[in-house]
Amino acid sequence: MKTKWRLIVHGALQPSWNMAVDSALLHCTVEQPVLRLYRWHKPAITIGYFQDIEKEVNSELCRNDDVSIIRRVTGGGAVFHHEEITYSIVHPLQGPFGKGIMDSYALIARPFVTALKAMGVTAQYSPINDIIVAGKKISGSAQTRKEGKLLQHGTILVATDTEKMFSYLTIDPKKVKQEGKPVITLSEIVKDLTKERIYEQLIQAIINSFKEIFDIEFEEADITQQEKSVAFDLEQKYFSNEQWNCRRLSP
Amino acid sequence: MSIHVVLKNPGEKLIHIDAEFNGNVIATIHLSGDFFIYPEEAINDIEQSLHGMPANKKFLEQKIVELLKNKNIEMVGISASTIVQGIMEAFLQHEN
Repeated sequence: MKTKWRLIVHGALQPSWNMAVDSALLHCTVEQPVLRLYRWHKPAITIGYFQDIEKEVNSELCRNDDVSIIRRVTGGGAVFHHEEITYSIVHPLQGPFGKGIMDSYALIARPFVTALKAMGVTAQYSPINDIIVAGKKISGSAQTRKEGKLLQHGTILVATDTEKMFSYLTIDPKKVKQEGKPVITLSEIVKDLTKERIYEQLIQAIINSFKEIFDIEFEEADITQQEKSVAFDLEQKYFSNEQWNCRRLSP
Repeated sequence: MSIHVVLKNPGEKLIHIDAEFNGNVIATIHLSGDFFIYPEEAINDIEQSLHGMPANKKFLEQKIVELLKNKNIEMVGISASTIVQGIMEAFLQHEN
């Protein structure tokens, strides 16, 4: 019998709520794995758990442009979110998802590489946490493990304003020099579709790839009342709280 | 005075090290960057384990490796040797 996963497809939501829902799913999930796909109501930046906001982001410019800066519960780098599909997966640390951290990054990259292929895009997993197309980054992800479960969230770029992205993010020259990986977006590659059609097709391709690769069935449902309530508390306590978002500043 | 060192070793993530020294002893240490530590809260244990320790490469590396083992901490995109490399670079700047 096929394993049943819950599928949550959300539209464009507030940045702090997006992060709160991911964390609520991690806290509340008991057994059934979850795949959530969502978008962003307005441009926002998330920074990794271990990052120092002052070293990574031009906070003043973000404030002036009403771009929220939110600290994630996951490590990794700062991300400018705008025109993208973001995914989150919550899965108990069982079976192939319970193996090593690097193994699970590679495993979770598979359906996204396959989904991109279905859209005519040749992509490959680039360890630790990226998916690239012709050497350029189209997807990044970050994973945490808590209470016997993993939460991995990541992005697939549909379009982006690179000028704005690089004005908000202060990327260290050492990283640029060594990793390169300038970004590429789906709308640069899939030129015969409008952005909205790309979103629709990408969501469907991701769902199909998950079914095929993990041999699962989806039950589509929204977050529960309990998850909503936990997300509300987490949003207040963490993701819309400046103390959380500005912690880990250097002395 | 806090000394800031940035490292990006091949195959690893970027790490910022901010350190203050009292003689050859680490007075404060702050690590940040786009690496991963599991569990995340263990970064506090790593930083605390280095406070008050002598800036000695071999000693510090052993200290971190032991902590990782004893507390079942996993680091991805960063290594004990890179953290110590950064501390020693900061110490060198402190001495000069």
